[in-house]
Parts: sequence; structure tokens; C-alpha cells
Amino acid sequence: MNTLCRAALAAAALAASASCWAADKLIGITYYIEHPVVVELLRGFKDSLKAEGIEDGKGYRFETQSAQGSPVTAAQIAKKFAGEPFDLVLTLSTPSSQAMVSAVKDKPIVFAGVTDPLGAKLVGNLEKPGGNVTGSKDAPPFDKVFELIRATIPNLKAVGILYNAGEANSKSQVDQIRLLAKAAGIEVFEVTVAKPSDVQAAAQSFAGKVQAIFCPNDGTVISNFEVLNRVQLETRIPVFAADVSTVNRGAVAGIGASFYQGGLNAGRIAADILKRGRKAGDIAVVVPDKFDTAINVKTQQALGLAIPESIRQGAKLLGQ
Amino acid sequence: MSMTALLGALELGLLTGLLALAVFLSFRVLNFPDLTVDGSFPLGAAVCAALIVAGANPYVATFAGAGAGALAGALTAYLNVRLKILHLLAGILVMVGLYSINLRVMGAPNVPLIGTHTVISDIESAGLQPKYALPLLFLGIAAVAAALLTWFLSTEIGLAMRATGENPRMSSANGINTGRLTIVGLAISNALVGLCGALFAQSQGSSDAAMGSGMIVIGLASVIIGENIVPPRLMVLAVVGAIAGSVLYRLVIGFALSGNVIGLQAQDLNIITAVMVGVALVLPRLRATLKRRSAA
Amino acid sequence: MIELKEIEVVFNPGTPIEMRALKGPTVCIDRSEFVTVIGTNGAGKSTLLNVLSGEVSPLRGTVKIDGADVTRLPTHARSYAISRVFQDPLAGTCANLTILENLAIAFRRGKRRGLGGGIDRKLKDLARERLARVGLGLEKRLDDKIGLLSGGQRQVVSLVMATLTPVQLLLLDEHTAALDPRTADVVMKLTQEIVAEQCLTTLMVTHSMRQALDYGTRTIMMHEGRVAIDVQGAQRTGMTAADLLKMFETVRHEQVTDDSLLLSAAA
Repeated sequence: MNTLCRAALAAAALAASASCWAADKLIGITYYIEHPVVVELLRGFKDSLKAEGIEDGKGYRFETQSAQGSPVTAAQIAKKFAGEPFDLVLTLSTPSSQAMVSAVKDKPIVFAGVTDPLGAKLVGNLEKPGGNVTGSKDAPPFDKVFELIRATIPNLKAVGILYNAGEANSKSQVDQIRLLAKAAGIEVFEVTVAKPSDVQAAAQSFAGKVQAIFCPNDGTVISNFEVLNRVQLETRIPVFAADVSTVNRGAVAGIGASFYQGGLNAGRIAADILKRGRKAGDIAVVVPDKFDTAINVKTQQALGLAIPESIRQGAKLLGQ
Repeated sequence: MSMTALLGALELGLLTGLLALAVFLSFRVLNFPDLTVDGSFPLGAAVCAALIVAGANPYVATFAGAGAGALAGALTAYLNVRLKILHLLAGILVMVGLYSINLRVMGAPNVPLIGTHTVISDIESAGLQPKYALPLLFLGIAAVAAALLTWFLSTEIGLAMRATGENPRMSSANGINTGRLTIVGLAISNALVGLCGALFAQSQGSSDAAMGSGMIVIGLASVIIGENIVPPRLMVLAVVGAIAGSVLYRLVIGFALSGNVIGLQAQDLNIITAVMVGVALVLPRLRATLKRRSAA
Repeated sequence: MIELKEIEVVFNPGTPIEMRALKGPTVCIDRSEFVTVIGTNGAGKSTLLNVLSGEVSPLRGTVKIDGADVTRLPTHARSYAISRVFQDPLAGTCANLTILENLAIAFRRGKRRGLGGGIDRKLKDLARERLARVGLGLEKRLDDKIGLLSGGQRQVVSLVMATLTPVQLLLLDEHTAALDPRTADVVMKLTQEIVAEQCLTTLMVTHSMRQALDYGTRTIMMHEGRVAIDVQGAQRTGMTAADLLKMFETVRHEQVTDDSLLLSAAA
């Protein structure tokens, strides 16, 4: 083996062993794929911890790993974290959380950005999880959004929904909306998309069939929301969202718990575990209870949509 | 890299070694670029998970996953051989169709296996430490698969399959039914993929509709890396090389995951991996060139 | 006996590039006959050979081997009776397999393939014996990959493969055309030896009139999809290329204008 190889290996070994020095507390963070939602969750998480004095470099070290969309890499990250002396692990989104929960049984895991932790078998019980896992659950307020749609569109007969049937989060959302619609006697047109480039055709297929489109918190649709927005303006069918940042991007109105809020909640749980010695299994999964209503004024004017004053009051006005 | 991370990389590298064997069989032996893999991997996982959750024996479920993979491979080959659809397109068609089929099989986008009776949970309940037991288990499985494949390719049928991939015209002239062998070959290849998917779902805790994405790339990278580090002079070397390539690929990713220590960030994982693999491919050639120059 | 009856072959029917390659010729080949086939470009000689091998399916007509109708059988299904040496020396063997492995594949031609070991003692002995007779030292290189051999050596191996097991018809598809003159000579001599030794029924397509007359027992000259001349026995003995050309003019009332044919006649 020539000198170059030997030098490279030595450097790598040194770098690897450097991680053993720290007497700092180690916080592991992992997410499945780069996504604006992840950015918001992380921001909330880190801000919340900062407020409690937990910051990277000040007695704590943060290690962040991304699976970059590969399930095998997510598994490898989970196994890596399992063997290293982390004091706490934050996992964002369902696939990364499942991989971590499978691999790590002896360290506290806090999840965020998961819609159905019970269905995903991350915890057995939302009030008292009992194991080493807890976290902050997404709970888009469908009932409220549905009411919003009905209040805004008086002659509502049909609603269109597009989502990726392959996303666990989305399927549970759509199931709930279907039930709500059925109870209210409103027809639902569902179109599935398998990848972001399918969004345009799917959205255009609603023309003439529905009076409103509901955009769930679906990674595939949200990542290509600009296209959906364009179709909204072309077909003049208003798009409603279950999350405030989507309204910011152009949905005419929506109600949501912000992902930033979800991150804050996860941070608070983490601080409880790290600073106040609580056990993850004793901390109830946090379900958001504060929701913001948001209206995109620019879209509203472009569509010529009238929004009842009762809703405008107290709503965040975006897009101005 | 910590010991656990190293063992984790070994474990996953040996498990995806099955995938590398499958791609070696389709891509190298049969000369058939088979994209079905991105669909048959989650299919194996889906069938296995659905059966386990319905109460079936996990070993039976695992083999069922392999069987499902075999059917998918046979379908792709059928589309190419009988309906004359270009092999790349045939694989794409089946892969795309399987996305919907997998969702149907699972009844949901994600079927969690945490806490169910699986092959992996059997290891844990046997009191063995998964950290050491799983790499050994997958080493055993990969070794058996490699041995079977090497033996198979030396039989009359196996030899005929190798000829089919290399020279179909000569094969036909020598009585080989190239169409039938292509179907059998792709079935075996995707059975390995289905098996890999079924085991992976049990080891990582869930079967997910999107878990197939990128599998063909991992398989191809493993085979190509393997050829570069273990010159495939003999069939047994080519087969073992594919598995070695898969392990090396995971080790490279393992090192890349430790990159944060030298200032690289989480989102740099893919490019670090690509650069390291590129270096691993070029290094043997560089060394050979340097040796030749110094000898001259 | 091999029988081709009223074979019609049309390539790209109904399109502007439609070509009627064979217009209904009938050819019967008796056991142990060594037929050479010559013809102008586009005469249909290669097509005739491909109809026999199964690579081309005729529009009309039948192909019978010892009374069995094989017209609709694919190539691999008739290989129990027919073997072939291709024109391209690289086409008849698998470069990445060893000499022995290639021979193993030829050995199972026409037989069922199972999970038995591809290579056994019997095959090795047969391989050594057949290759030793060729005198090129190939019997000592059984485990070498065929890709290491020269074109001529590969063609020799192809010939040995095609005659490894008994066949009812040996097809030689201009098998020396891509070789240099010296190697071509070696291969032709070897061909003659093996055919004589095994009394093989043989059909050899060639571009060289001299080769067509110097070897074999019967010569067929094709022109525009039909058989123009069919000579054997006394009529054929001692015939030269010039004789053949004159016969063609008499029969067809036209002169041969194909350059390559004329040049090969002069050779």
C-alpha cells in the first residue's frame, strides 16, 4: 500500500477517533429527505433548545445525518446511532423514525413530523408511550379546514383532493377528510400522484368538477406547490391548505399548526429529558392545540373570492 | 467509524449483497439491464409484511416475498421475450406498475413491523445480540446464495444462461431456448431481490411503498465496485466480488456518515459517497499505470 | 434427407423496400452430399441457408428433415439436426467462456439441459481428441477463454463445435470469407477432413467460384431468388469457373455481371 493510501487512512482514523474525545452531551438528529418541512421542524427544535441553554458547542454537540431518500442509508444511520453514546436522538418523518425505533432501544428518541405515530408503531400509547420513544405529532386540523371551505364556498358540492398514495401521512389525512365530506353530503374527487411532475395534470383534471381543492400535508404535492398554485389561478378553483406555510406560498386560505410549532414542542420534550431527567416513556406525545388561520390576500383578490368577516378576523394575512 | 457503525455497515452490506448478486445475474450474466429491481424490492417487502401482519409464519412470509419477486422478474422477461418490448422499457413498465400493486398488497403506504414476530425478532428472543448476530446471519445467507449461484452457473442450464447473455445467436444455434432461459434467469434474479426486500423490511421495522427507489443504483454500484476490487477471472470470484462490492459501498457510506467530524454537513452525504466511490474505482487503475511506468 | 420445397421469402413486404429474396426454389439434399452454393449478391444463397437454420421464416413452402416438417420451428428447436458455422469468427463462440465451456455448450446441442454439471470427464476427453487432430495446440488450452484466440483459431473451434456431435446437416455460412488466405486454407482443409470422416451432409455457401467447385460433391448456383444451375457427378467433375459462367449464360440468356463473382472466377 503506497504512502498516499496510508496517510489517507491515518487521517480518517484520527478524524473518527476525534468523536470520542468530547465529554459533551451528544444529540443526534436525523431526517429522511431534505424538505422545507424538515427545515421548519429543525428551526423550531433548535430555537426551543436554545431558549433552555442547550446549544451546539456549549456543553452539547449536535450530529445531523440525512438519509437523502435512501431506506438503506436510513437503516445504516439508525445502526450507527445505536452504537454511539448519544444522550438523545431526534428523528424527523416516519421512515427515519421507524428505522431508529427498530434499532435503538436504550436511548431516548424524540420524533417530530410524524402524522400517525400510533399507526407507524412508534409508540403503543399516545398518553403514556411507556418505552424510550415520544415526540410531537402532526395533526392537521381537517375538521377546521373543512369548515373553512364550507364557510367560504356557499354552493359547495364537490371537493378535489390530490395526494401521493404512497405517503403514510397523506393516506390517513385523506381518509379523515373523506369521512367528513361524506357526513356533510359533499362529493370528493381524489387523484393520486406518484411524483412531483404528476401534480399539474392531476390538478387540471379537477376543472369543471369541483368548487374547491384541498391540499393535504403531502410531501409530493407540497414540494411542487408552485404548479398547483398556477393551476389554481388558471382554473379559478381555490386551493385550501392544512398548514400555514402553504398558504404563504399561495393557497387562498388554510388552518394549520405550524411545523415550526411542532419543532418547538419536540425541543421542549428534549429539554425535559436532557435537563430535567424525565423519561421519554413518561412524556405524552404532544398533539398541537394551537392553530393559526391564514389567508393569502393576493390569491384571494386574484380569484375574486369573498371570505366571511368572521374568518378574516384573527387570521394571519399573508401574500401582501 | 465506531465498532457499531462498522458492524452496521457490514450487516447492511451483506444483506444488500443479495441485491448485488441479483444485479450481477441480470446485468452481467444475462446482459439484461433490469430495472424491475426498484419495484420487486418493495414487492418482496410488501408481501412479507402483509403476511406477517396477517399472522403468517415469518419464514414462510420471507420466502413468499422471494416468490413474489420471482414473478415480477418473470413478467419483465416475458414482456421482452414474447411481446418484444425493449428490455429497459419492460423493466420500467413492471417497476411502475408494481408501485400500485405494492400499495394494494399492503393496504396502506406503510406497514410497520415493529413488535411483530419476524425472523429478526427470533434472533433477539434467542438471546443473541443483534449487533453481532445479524451480520453473521446475513453473512451466512449471502454465502449460501453465492455458493448456490456459482454452482448453478456451472450446470448445463447455467452455462446455457451464460451463453444466452453473451451470444444469443450462437446459443440458439446450439439448441438453447434463449427466451425461456431469460425468463428463468430474471425470475431467479428478482427472487433474490424480493428476498432481500423481505429481510430488509423485517430488520428495519417496516415495509414502505417508496423503499425501492434507488435500489438498482445500489446494486449496479456494488457490482461495478466489486469487479474493480476483485478481478472476475473465475465465476466464483465474480460472485464473491459482487458481495464484496456491496459491503465496500456500505463502508464508504459509513465513512461518509462520519464526515461531519471534518466539517462536512448532512446534505453532503451523497456527494461524499460519489467522490469516495469514484476514487475507489480509479485507484486500482492508477496503481497499475504507476507500476507499469516504473517497470518500463 | 433434407428437403426445401417451393420456398418463398419476402423481406419487408408491402413497403417501398420490399425484396423477394427467394422465389420458390426447391432443393433436395441427400445424405452425405456436400453441396456448395454460389451466387451473385442478393441471389438468395444466404437466405436459403437461413431458411434451413430457422433464422428466416418463409412466406410459403416447407422445410423437411427426414420427413419431419420443421418449417415453423425456431432455430433452437431444429438444432438437434442442424449445426452451423457462422461467417464471422467471433459470432460462433462466446469470448468470455473457455474453450471447454464453449464445447460443452455445443455438446448439449439438441439435448435437454438440466442441473447436471456442464463439464465432465467424457466431454474433456472428446474435446482433447477433436482439438488435437487440428494440430494447433488448442487441446492444451482448454481452460483459456476463447477471447484470447485469434479469429482463425476461433473459427476452427466453431467448426469443431459444429461437428462435435452427429448432425443431419452441417451449414457452412461463408465460413472462410473473413479469414486471411492461409488460415482460410487451413480451415477448408480441416472442413474437408471432418466432413469426409463423419460423412456429414453439408451445405456450404461461398462467394468463391473456385472454392465452390474444388470442394464438395454438388454445386448449386443461385440467381435472383431461384436455382439457376445444379451440377453434380460426372457433369461437374473437372468443371472450371469459366465453364460455370458459360453454363450460366446459356441457361439464363444473360451474362454474369456481378464483380465479386467474376473476380473470384478469375482467382
